[in-house]
Amino acid sequence: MKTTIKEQYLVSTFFTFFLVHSSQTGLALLGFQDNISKNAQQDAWVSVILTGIVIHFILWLIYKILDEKHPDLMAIHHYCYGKVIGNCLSFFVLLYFLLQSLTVFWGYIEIIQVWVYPTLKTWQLGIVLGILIYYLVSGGFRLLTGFSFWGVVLPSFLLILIYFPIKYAKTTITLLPILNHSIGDILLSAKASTLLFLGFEWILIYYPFIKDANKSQKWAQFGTLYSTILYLIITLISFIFYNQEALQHTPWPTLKMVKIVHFPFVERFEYIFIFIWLLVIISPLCISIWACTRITRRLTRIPPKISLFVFLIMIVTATTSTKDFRSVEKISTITSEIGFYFIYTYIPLLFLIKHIKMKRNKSF
Amino acid sequence: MNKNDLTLEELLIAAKKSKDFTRIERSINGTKIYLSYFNTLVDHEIIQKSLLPYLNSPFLKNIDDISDKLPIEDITFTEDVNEIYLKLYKGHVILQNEHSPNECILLNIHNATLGLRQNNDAENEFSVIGPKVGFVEDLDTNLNLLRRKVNSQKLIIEEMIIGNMSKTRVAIVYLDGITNEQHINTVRERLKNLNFDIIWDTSVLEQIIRDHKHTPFPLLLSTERIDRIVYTLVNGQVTIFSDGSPNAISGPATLLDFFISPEDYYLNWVLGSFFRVIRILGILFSVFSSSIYVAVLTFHYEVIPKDLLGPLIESRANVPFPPVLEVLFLETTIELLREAGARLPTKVGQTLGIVGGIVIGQAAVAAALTSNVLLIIVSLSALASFTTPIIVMGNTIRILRFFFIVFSAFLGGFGIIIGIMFLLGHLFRLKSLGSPYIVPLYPFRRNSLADSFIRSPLSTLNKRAPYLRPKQLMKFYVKEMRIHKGDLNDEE
Amino acid sequence: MKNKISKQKGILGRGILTFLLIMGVSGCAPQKVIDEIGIMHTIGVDLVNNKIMGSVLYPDFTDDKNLMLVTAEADNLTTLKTNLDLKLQYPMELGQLRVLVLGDTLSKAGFSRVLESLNKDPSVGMINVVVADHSSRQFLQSIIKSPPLFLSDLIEQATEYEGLPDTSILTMQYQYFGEGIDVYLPNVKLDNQNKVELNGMSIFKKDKLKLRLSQKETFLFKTINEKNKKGTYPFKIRKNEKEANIGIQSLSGKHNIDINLAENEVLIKLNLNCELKGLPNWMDIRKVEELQQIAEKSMTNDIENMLVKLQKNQVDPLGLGMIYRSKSKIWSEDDFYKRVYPAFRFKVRTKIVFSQYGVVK
Repeated sequence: MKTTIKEQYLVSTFFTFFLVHSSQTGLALLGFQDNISKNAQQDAWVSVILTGIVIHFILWLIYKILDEKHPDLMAIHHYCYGKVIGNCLSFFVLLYFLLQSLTVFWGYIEIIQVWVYPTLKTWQLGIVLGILIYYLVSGGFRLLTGFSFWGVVLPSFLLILIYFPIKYAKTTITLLPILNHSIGDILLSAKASTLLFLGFEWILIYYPFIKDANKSQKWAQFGTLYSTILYLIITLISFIFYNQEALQHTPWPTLKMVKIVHFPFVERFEYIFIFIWLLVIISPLCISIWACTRITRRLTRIPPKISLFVFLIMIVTATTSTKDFRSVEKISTITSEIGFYFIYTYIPLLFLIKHIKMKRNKSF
Repeated sequence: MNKNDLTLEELLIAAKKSKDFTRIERSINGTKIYLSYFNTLVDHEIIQKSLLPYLNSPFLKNIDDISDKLPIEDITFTEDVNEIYLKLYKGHVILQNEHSPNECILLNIHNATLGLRQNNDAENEFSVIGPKVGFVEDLDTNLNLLRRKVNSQKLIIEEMIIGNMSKTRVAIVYLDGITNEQHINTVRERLKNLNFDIIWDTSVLEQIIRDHKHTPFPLLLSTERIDRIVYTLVNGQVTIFSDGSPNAISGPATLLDFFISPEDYYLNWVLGSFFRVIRILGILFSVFSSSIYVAVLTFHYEVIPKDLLGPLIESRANVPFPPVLEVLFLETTIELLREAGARLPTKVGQTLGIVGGIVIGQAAVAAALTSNVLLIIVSLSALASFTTPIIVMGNTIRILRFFFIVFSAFLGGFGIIIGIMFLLGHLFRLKSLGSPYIVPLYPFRRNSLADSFIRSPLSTLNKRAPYLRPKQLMKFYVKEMRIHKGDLNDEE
Repeated sequence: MKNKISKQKGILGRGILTFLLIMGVSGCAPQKVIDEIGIMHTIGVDLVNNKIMGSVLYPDFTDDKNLMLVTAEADNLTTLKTNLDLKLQYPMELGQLRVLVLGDTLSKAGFSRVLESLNKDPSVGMINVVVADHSSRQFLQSIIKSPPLFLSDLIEQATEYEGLPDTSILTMQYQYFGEGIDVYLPNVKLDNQNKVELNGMSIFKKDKLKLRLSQKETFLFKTINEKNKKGTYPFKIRKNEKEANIGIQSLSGKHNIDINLAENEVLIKLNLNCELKGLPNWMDIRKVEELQQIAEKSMTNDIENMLVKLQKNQVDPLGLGMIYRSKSKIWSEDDFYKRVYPAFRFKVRTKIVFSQYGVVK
């Protein structure tokens, strides 16, 4: 198994910022406020900051785990657990990544169906998106990096829209009183906001594709910082735009907030917003599927294009298998639950095992 | 080149089949000599004034005197049948003596300018300000024009012969010590490996040596303007000329190169940037406007502002077709007009413009085939597509428009964004001579943005684009000039 | 060589196949061609025999831009749409809906079932909601001769300049779901010449109509509730046995509401920049301070009266509950409105500055 990648396929170090940041934003940004404020209510913004800080720490752990000799998860699994168990564990990680892509894929289709085309069938949208993803992912990691770069830069003009809810909101007292919830509530909200940041763990797979990867930590941390700030801003704005009770009655608060945006030449900006959002979600979606094909390639001899095709068929079939609208929510809960334990339990564990093993190897 | 295993005799016998082949007999000092040439290729004036009078005269003592005494510049001695073969068809006269018929003397009496136009205005890529001289169909004239602008020993011209029928001279031009060798080698390799019968134009070359076959985008910059080619050369690109073509092609090109007009540099940077931005916005409008019309009117009536809703519905109320057909009808009409305009003589073309633009447009609205609003949108977007300084790109833009119309007709706004995704994915893959096509956008090069969407002041454009990997980054060094602007600082 | 050619063909073939697949697959996206749908601009909802009666005004652009009125009855909003469609050439679409008129029967019985179903429909945009003083059907009947967007433009204009509170379906949701604030909506009525007139506002407790305020009170309410304070305020002035009614035009200003928890006191500060117009000849413009004082006193009084009126009717459109909630650790909506709110005392401090005088010498 070769772990070094040819120079021409590497991406510049500073793209780590966009890779990490774009994996952390995505579908969740359209409607996370009601979830995170269920417990801590108006104090949920504290939970967002808290989660952000913890994610910085986890990212630091990941960079400690990865090194020149073991530049990706599969190599580390081999090193820590040996070939058989290591491969098994990598396979489970693959399943988790696949589940993540399924969540985003399905979630976006659901939004399109609910907001724009109520009568368009899931399989139709699924096949269209599937073909698009096949076309993009088969272009390789450099192309996906391009998408993550432009998927961050182009939609950042949407940040201007923040002006509208701020102007609209009559009062900021819905943010008060500060910190009147118990630590338990705030932690529960922090758990809910972990879902927002999921996706940065793919760096375990694409690390060897970054030029001077050991120097990229700075950029990765900046990316996380930017995501934290972005989520914080959106949270605060939604809390003054809605009050806590109205928020709980609104399934996609960000989208509903965009309803008030109107220009002389276009009204109902949320439609355009949803479409432009494809630019935001396409890169995390593609990178997660790409990560799956990469793991497959490292474990077996299956060519990436074949495995990519198989994964896409699996995803499209899964989305069309059930017509129950609650299944999206179910699958998203399951994914975030697995993700929660993956980053808070498994990664620290991996860190410990690797370091114990390293020490032992040194002493021998 | 393909080998002809002919002997000289066979060659001459083959040539004799043509009516325009001439073989005459003369003598020098009693030795018989034979002149063979194609009288359609040679300059008869030279033959009559500079060649024939000297033969048969005592002026020439023997055959070897020819190269010294004849007033003809290009004289070669050869026995190589291949070379003879090649040059015979390029307008050389073959001189043989009876004793050693295989030792030929080749005299270049080619009438190079016969049948070529004298006018070398840049007609297709016009600019109001700046030089208006363009390339012509003759390679030597073109290289002459180029040498006049670039007076440097760095300008290297390599030549090769391509085309098994046409035997066209193709020149590779670059600046030694500036252009990256990798680009030069790529061009050389690709031209060497090229197999084709007749090189009609450099555009044919472009299609054969480009990196991707299945793309509507031009991957090498093709232009008839001298200043443009000089600019690409100076920046470290490689240029290819071919004999018989008034266009030169340059590479590696990027997408943005095609939206840059030389005039941007002749205007002050503020104006230049403004026009460039206008041009790029116009192109975006041209690509997306009709598809957005289709998407909005077919699927997203919600996004129409309330005051626009009435006029829009009213103008469409009598149109019996769905918006897609309406748009396709009008777009095809415009394409027809353009195509007809391009084929017709100039004077008829103007009439056509009036008939097409005004009469057909108005009649279409009156007959309720299209709506007023659409007529404006489509004609504006057609207009905008002609602002591309490189005509080939304008065609690409119009093709893209149809692509987006089809997408939006089926999936509305979602279709447009899916189309954009495919387009971006396609653009990210494209390469020109092995380097990425949409640099500096991706891979992102911040310092190259100074001359991309805007055009910074000339003094700041003293670096070559780093993505071309030039061997010498700086073009020139800026000297500080003390100019009194008459502001607060000067009063001290 | 041969291999290469066939591979290229493969790419082209695959490209075409993909394209056809995408197109074929999505061939049946639902179309809503702009001139083949019925575009609702205004909908009025009444309650008749516990059934929802919806009256819809929609423009017919093919026929001299006339507005058409169609009415249907149903048990809920979803079936209402079906019942409307059954009477029309084209299906009705909610996407361009601008104004929702609540008939008096419905506002008295409670608007919740209309609001909740509109809240869940993503095609509904920003709608202005107004309350009619009798049947909304009758009301819509009277504007059928006006331009299609008459009502929505009227509301927009009055909100911007004439002291009508800025409301929409979003504020309605905010106030309806949120604790510590009550819903208020502008009133519409027909004057004696059967013309539409915006007049004051209605205040709801939960979803039921509780109180109507006059236009003057509504303007005062707006000055202490919104950033936009444009509008006019009339007051009486009496001097040397001469009496006059003066109108001042408020241009801009600032307000601040504070609750003193210890003393159960609501302190409201209001600064207004006004333009003075139509001063009677016997008033001396140089004695503007005097005029200011009179205006301030009159306004303070009126605002206090208005607040007491709200308090007496047990409604809280100002959101005093929300302010209270943001200051106290414990919050219970019931407790606040039963115990705390009735005990509030109001203290208003108004400051008026005449920044413009009109053309006065």
